[in-house]
Amino acid sequence: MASGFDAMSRSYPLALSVLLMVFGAVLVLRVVISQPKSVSFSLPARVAGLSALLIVAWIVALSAGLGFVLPTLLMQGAFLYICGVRPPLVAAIYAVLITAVGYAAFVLGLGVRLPETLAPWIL
Amino acid sequence: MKHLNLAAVSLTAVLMAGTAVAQSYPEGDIDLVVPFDPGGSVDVTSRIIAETANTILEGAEINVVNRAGGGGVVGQTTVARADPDGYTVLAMTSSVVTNPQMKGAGYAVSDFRPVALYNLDPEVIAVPASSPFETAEEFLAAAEDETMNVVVAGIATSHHMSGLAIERATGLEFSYIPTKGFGAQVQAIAGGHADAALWPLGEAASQMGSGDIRILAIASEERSEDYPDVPTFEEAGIDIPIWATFRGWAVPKGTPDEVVADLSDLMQQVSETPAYVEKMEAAGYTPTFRDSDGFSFVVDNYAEQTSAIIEEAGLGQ
Amino acid sequence: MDMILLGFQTLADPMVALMLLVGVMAGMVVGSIPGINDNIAFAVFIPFSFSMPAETALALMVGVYCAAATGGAIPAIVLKVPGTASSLLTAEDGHAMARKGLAGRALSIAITSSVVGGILSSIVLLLFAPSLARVALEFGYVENFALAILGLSSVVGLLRGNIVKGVIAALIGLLVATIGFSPMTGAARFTFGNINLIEGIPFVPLLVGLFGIAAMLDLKADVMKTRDPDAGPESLPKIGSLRLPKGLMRRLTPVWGTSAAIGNVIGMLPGAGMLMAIFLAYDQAARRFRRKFEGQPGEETWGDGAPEGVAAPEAANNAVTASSMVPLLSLGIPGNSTSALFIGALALHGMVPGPLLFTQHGNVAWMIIVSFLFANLLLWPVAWVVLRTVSRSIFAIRKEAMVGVIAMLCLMGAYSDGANLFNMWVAIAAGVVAYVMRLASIPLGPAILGLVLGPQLESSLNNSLRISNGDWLIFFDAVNHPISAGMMVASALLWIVPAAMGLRDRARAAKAAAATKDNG
Repeated sequence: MASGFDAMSRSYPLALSVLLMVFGAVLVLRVVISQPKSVSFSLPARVAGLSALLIVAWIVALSAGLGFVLPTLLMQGAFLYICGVRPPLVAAIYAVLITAVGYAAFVLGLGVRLPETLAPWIL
Repeated sequence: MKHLNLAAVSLTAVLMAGTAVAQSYPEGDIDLVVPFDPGGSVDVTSRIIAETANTILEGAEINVVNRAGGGGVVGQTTVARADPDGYTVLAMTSSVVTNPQMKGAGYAVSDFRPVALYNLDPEVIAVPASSPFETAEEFLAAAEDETMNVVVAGIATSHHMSGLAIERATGLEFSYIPTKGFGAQVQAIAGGHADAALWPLGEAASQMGSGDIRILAIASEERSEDYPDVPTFEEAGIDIPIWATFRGWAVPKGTPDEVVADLSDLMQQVSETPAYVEKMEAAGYTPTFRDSDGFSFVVDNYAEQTSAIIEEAGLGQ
Repeated sequence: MDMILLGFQTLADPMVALMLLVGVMAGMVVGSIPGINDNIAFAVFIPFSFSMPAETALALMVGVYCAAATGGAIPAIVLKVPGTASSLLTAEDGHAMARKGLAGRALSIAITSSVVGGILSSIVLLLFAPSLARVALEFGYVENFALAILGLSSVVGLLRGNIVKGVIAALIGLLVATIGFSPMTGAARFTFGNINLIEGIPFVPLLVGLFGIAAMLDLKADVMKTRDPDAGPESLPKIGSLRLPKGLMRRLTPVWGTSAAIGNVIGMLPGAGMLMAIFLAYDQAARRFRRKFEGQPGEETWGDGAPEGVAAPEAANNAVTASSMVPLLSLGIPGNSTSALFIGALALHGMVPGPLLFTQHGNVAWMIIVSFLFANLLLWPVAWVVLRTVSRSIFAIRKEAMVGVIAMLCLMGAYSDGANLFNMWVAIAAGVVAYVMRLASIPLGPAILGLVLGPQLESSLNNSLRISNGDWLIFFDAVNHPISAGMMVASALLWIVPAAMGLRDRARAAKAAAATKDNG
């Protein structure tokens, strides 16, 4: 399905890809020639990796039918911890508040249907 | 607010249960799954139906649930896999028939049991008002000499297939201009940028007052009451008695007969409500009613028509 | 004239007027919440609107539509997180101003520009709706292709010395837009068998990811970078005074005029949309700024707090809102994806936009038109209230807590558009990609334009060639397609002029260098 389609539909994306390769090569050449100072990407990589991991875990929990409240509470707590909100009690209060407001706004207020949960009493 | 209503309804439901033991279905709320975004034609008609049905139903409510994605396949698959208890109903459209072949949907048409049909939208041939073709015969005759550019909603849509059906019936050949969205198609036809379009009558009717377009023929067995001057396909010399997209209700296969009958009766009662008829017509849809068997016939007929075309044109995946 | 009065009369119903106000307030809040946009708000609201009278429901939607485009500027300026796609460019100069302690002034410019742009286009809508709508009919497949090319060319002015990366970004956007159905044959492309991708990547969650999630990651990196264990909670920039000096108003007036004109024209053309309008307006304003102000004492550099950089896109995006209703109401052809949702809302109330709307439901049609004028008049007072109340309390939240909140809002917002879990995956993936692009300093703007214009580009190219029997010269045919030929020339100029000016500057610099050498 990824590439096994007819020639007629292929020419346009193919043309784009060729252009992309050409410009990509120009970019690579430029970098090689000018040799700019290297920049450390360790912080951004950590940021993106950690957040993405948390969010992915949250989506998986939601899909698995664990409901909205528990996964959200944990996700918010984790985000607050990573961002440096330290006394655990403060972080917990924040997390509870955010989860409550989120649930009230989306589920109660806007009537968004959440994915089916494992048991009917799980919110 | 909605939840207050729900609470009230369930309270009445409890009270009702004591008095009306004989009626076992529906005991709770019914989800009417619309596999498209809110505001589309299926959504609009479903909401008009639900509104009327909820004045008839006692102790239960029909909730319209939008499950959009994948051109309808996501919502359709949800219903195909739902419990066959009558509490999950699909707003079924013609695309259910072709999606397994065209889009690789994971269900088969036989996974659904048609409940009732509420709208049939016949295909029309529309041309710009500035077009030299006054009648369908003139159009077809001209199409023999030069290839006509025909606007359709997309390749492998029901409208494209109606074009292929016309080709089969007349031996002509068209050049299709796939144009997504009805607005963009109107732009092309009203602006005179293509020769003709294949449209459902319901949508074409919304453009009839402008004087920018003209319809040449309607693919239905009888002439339309609103457009008595427009011939049917057969009258115009196209050997296709009917080509129409349909809208109706379906439930997962294996749903008990009584439940299907109850739902079908409900739809019939809805279709006989004057307020409903008025609302549907104002929104541009001609309300009709066919029961489970009648709807099944329409579905099977459509499946037969399309599968031959899909195979011949090599459209399947 | 009678009909216009009828519109005023319908709007004068206290309930309808109240709903317009509620809509403006809600739109301002919706717009100012990253991850939620007017598309999502409508998707959630349209089902509700069914139980309301048509006039009240539509007045509310008009309010939301107008105000969301303005509200998006608030987080763009304060947080550098665009609340909606239409405030993408506002974030650059706007946030730079906020960092310099001028958040109030930036917000004030944004709101005033929105009001000016919105009112100008409402007047156009009020006076010329039916006659101008015919313009849309002049645009066939050939013209649509030229329009898409013009739109893509509008980013050139933005790139300055970064042309290669800009082109790469645009190409990435165009390539991603080819995912899903091939318009020519209906074959599934690059879907890897996933049914959710068959109609392309769902667009609303994609936008939410590109703006919301990416900005959330950025904010988080910022929090972690500046984190100091001893320091107290970090607060956001103070909003400060909202007063605009008279001189600044005078200076911005021509920018407002140009941007509103661009917004009006682009809004009326189906398929162009708000993004193209803000890019074109921004480009124009940048050229003017460089010519007249840059390098003068006391002036900022472009992209680093120039007031024009806030005024131009904000005036343009609000000008698009009302003008996008011109072809919609009288022809049934939506100007962009948000105005298309009005079709659904009207249909729910038994009305079909198109030629029959004005004869059959003149009161509602004119009420909608008049509402645009009033919604824009309400923008300033409502913005003032929202800034003092909602925004102030939102921005009082610690920046650290904001990260998780934005993440939740974005994901739930993406999900609510069709109640599909797949949307969440789209949002997170798009967010990470956009973040990586930012790290590599590949601009996001051209990529988004590519995404928006890609489908139109491909299908109008194919359809044009089908009609012309494969003749590529059809796009430059000045006799049969003068509009297309004109737009092609304009696009070429957008590329050539900056290049030529760059060469001239380089030549001048070389001459000057040679001259100093001679003297020395």
